[in-house]
Amino acid sequence: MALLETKGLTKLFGGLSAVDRLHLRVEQGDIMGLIGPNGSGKTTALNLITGFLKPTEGSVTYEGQDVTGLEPHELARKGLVRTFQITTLFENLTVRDNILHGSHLANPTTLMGALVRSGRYRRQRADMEARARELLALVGLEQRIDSVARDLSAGEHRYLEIAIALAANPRMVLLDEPATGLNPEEAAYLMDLIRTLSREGVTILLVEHNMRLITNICTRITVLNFGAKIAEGTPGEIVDDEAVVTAYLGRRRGA
Amino acid sequence: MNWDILGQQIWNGLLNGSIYVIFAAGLSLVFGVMRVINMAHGELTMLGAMLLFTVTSVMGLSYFAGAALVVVMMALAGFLVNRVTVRPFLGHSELVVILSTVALSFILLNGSLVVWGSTPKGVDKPFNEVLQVGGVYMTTAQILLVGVCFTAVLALYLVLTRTKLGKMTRATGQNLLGARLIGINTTAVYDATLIIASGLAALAGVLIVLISAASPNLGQPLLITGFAVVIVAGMGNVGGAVAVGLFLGLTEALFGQYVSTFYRQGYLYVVMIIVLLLRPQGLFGRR
Amino acid sequence: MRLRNRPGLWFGAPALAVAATAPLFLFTNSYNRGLLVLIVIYAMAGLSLDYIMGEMGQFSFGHAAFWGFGAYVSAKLALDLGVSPWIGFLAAPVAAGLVGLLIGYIALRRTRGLELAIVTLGFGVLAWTVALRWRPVTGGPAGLRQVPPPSLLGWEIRSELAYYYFALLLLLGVVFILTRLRESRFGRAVRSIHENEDLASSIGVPATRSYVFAFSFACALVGFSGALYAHHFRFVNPNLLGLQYMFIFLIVVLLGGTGTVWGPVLGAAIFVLVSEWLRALQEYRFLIFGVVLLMVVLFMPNGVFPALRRVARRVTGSGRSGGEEAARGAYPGSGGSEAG
Repeated sequence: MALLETKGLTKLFGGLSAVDRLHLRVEQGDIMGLIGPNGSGKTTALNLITGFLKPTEGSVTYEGQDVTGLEPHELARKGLVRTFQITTLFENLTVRDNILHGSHLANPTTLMGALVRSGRYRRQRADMEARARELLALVGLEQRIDSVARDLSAGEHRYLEIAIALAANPRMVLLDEPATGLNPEEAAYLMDLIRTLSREGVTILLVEHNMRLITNICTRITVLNFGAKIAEGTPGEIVDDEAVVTAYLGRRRGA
Repeated sequence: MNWDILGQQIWNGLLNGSIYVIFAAGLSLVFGVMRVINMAHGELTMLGAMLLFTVTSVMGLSYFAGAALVVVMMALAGFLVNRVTVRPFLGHSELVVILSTVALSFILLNGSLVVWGSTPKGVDKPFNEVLQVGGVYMTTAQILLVGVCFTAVLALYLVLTRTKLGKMTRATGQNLLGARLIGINTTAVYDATLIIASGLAALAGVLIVLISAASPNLGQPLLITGFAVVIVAGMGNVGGAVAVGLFLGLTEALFGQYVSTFYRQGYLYVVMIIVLLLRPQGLFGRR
Repeated sequence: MRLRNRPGLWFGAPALAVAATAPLFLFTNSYNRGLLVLIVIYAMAGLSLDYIMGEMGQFSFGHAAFWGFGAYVSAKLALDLGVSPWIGFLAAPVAAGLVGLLIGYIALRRTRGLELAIVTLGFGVLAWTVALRWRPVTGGPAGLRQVPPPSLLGWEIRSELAYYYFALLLLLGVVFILTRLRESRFGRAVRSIHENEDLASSIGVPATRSYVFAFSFACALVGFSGALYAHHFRFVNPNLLGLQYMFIFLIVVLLGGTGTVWGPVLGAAIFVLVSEWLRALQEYRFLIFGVVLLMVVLFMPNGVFPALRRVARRVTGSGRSGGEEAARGAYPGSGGSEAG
């Protein structure tokens, strides 16, 4: 059984289809790449899956359940968490507070505990603090724990964003063009980070328009053009696919 | 059903509705272009009415000369409103602008109470013959009011749709940064917006005296009515505000006649809440 | 150093000392002590409005309506049913909170920001109209009189002095709860929506539901403040729901500084005392007040308290590396007081 599956997913904007009958299957443990030229409907597809947009037609199944049209926070509760194309952080908070605020789902404290500051509450807080440090160590931001998020570099923004997503203890993470705005070293570090996540057991759907960047790390790739799927397979198969080469790479080469 | 009473209430509703239209159009314009809630808009109307009283009764100008003078003066004062209470705060949160316009309304209201006292003042109407059309009584002053309102709305429509200024205000309202990038002087657009809005507010003020007395206390209730109109129409939608202002003026009069005089004041807000429940973005709003 | 870990203490401790001893020197007659009661009640209402403004980053223009509603509920229970004011002090926030839940649900489903401000304004005016018109229940424009004071062990809390200490104690309780609430899971959820609603919902925060509860909480708190007003000044009337008090609460919050627990307390003190000093100017009083207000907004757009805090930081040398903006986003205690 696939962990995530979409069937006939369609979104019309004023009669034009941004996503057209998309069938997508992501198996547990995959690093699935969703690629396509700019404007091919990748981000719209991601918004449809994560509940930020409601599909015109079609369904989304996650863990065998129909989750079509659920709100983003309901999906997050089921372990499906996303990041955004434009880096999205709690810009005015410190790195530490970004993680602590991001730990909403993993926060076991009760209101009464917080009001009376019970021993149990203090222990839970200390655990959350320790977990925040672990996550920051994982993404390499432990030195920046007291910095304000908006002072971070572009790369650090991305790493923190991923740490926030992880703080929700996700089973699957959807990353929307995470390499945007990063220099080659930062992008390489990010791809390493994604591999680490995958080793930790998180299933990944990676939206990207830069195909070269992700052929190394993806287990499978789906290619979109004009909202419709034009190819699917292993990175090796995709690179050789006729339709992909003409619709995507061919045009690039010619440009 | 007494058709004369119905006709009379429709006429009365049209009179109030015309004022709501002029008032709410300015309020909505400021919100739509600048994302500013101008809490002093009601006091600008009040000031228009009070100044008209002074220039006609004290300085002896005719109604028309006085009204023209007051509207022009108040429109120019709109420039000051922008430079003193809006523009300095645009970098801060939207709430700070609310507070600065609240401060302005405090100053205008209490300043007016000091100058004019709280007793309502009558203003001499240019002509006030009573006509009977069918079973409906109307005065020539009332007909003037409706005529001026429709002319003003038409003029506003032409300015907003046919002129370069209109295009610039729309671009600024849709995307401030984008407007700046394509070379629009947004400071001038903001000045112009508040000049137009203050002129409209003052116009409402000089017209109100045709159907009621001028009093420093007329601003706040009008502001609140204006907000109800703007919400029902959809925030920042000037055309919607015109349609809704007229509609609410008419139905409010009918509600007062046929349902309850007592809760007439509440009618607008009940409509507002129903609209919010069914269509939170307002009747003409898009989301 | 402990002061460093508890950013509110440098102000809170001296402020409490001044508040506790104020009736001994400056505020020695009952009129002046009545002003102290007013400060406490306005401070509580301001804290509640600031929960919406500072924590939620939203704005309610109908907040005075909940204040007046709480006052009416408690007064009505005491006058018509002979219910003890103590029950009224419980019933007022519960009733205001429930109405807040309903209105919050209607208003917060889609509207945020300035739209929400105008929508709540509409609700507030509707409530005011009903209070004015529904004469059999609300007493019409004259309102209700002879609201009884609360009594403790057979002793009526009637004097300004007793009521002041009683209300001050409650205010401290409110400050305590608000401070702790900020660090709770709920408080963090609310703050995270304020900071970034998309991100908050993508990591599992139910944004609208959290905001509706937060709004309802603020309404309950202001309803409580209204009940305190009713049982001290012993009357209620429709003005309590009107724009005049709305503006007062707004001034209290913005004068003191939004997003800080002590800001509204300081703002209430400044507002009550300054408008009292201006009383000598008679009809010029509110005119001058408007000018003063405009000046404060012009020169201290963040309010008086953050300006004071900057000075205090410089004096005690406990400035943060992130500067003022970081401190605005940070929570009391989240900077390591518990982790350390």
